[in-house]
Amino acid sequence: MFLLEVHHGLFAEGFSLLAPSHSGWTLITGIDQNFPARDAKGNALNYTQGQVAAACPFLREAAVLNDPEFEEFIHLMQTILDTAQSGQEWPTVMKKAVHEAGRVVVKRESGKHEEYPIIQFGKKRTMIRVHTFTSGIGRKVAFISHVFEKPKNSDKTPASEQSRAKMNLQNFLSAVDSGQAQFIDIQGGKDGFKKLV
Amino acid sequence: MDSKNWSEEQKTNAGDRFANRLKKLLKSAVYITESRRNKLAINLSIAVAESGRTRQAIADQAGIKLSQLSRQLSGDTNLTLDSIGKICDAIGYDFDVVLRRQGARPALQPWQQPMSRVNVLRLVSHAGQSPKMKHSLDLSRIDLGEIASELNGPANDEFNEPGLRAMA
Repeated sequence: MFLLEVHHGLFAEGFSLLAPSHSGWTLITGIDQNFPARDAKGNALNYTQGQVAAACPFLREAAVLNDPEFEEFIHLMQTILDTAQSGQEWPTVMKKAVHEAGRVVVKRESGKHEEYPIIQFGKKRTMIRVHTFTSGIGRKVAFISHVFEKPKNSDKTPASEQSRAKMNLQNFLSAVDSGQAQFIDIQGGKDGFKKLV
Repeated sequence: MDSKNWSEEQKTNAGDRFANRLKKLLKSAVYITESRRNKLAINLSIAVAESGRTRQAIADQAGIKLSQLSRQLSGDTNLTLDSIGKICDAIGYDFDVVLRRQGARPALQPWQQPMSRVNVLRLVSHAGQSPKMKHSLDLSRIDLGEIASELNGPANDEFNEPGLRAMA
């Protein structure tokens, strides 16, 4: 499983795959492919925003939102990322725009079961929700599960979205436990992520 | 909507669509206005959190209701300079309107560490020594070009010192 750091550069006109260093929260999400810094001949490779978005379920699924929801998604991500860089706890800064939306139990490779709260971002009046899990061992690392559109007739988080969040977290942790979780090379080294979990 | 089973063509199209829509959005006057409003509100919210004081205490000192302060910090209202001033006064800050070229990096906030040469050298000299800080100070993540742009100028001779280059 390849992992992508989600940062301001992915959402900027001056697109950047390389995340700037800061001491706040590191947000990561799963992607379908690696983005090596160089090809087999040693030539530097460049990637476009479109190529990265195509490989990233979190971004490509946002691409099919309606215009107002797409705009809301970008605003929400900017807010999340601004807060992330400060290192502050999200509920302290974002208040009602972030809350716990249930809990999931996942199994680690050791056989141990672990319970994680689903952190849900999204203002009440808007439709967009982002599901995230934060590291339980003190590191400021958050795994972004996915984005979805809230059903118009309910304030509750649909069970299907919770199931998907659980599945994404389980896949992520299984990949970490088996040594298959890998930050893309260009962002921080082949096995950089394993140290963070 | 799980896109795991989308065809490669669907993924490519969605990626291109994402990039194109974002490009268009970033140029939209409505988006830019709301983005500025959100950015201001989130920066004030972070400053309030950094102050370590409760929002109630800050609202009391600013002479406004807690609900009003919450609305102002939510990004849903168009803040006036007077409102910003009241919040800043209550947490011991002042503010300036600092202009910059479009696309240039924003000015650093008090809680953001300025990337001065001294800080760069400190990062380099401490990197790898503390396991806890290993990730954020990973040498492979320190980009000299980026550091130079942090200093609002092209890569200069300071960063061509052999020792620094070798360490990076």
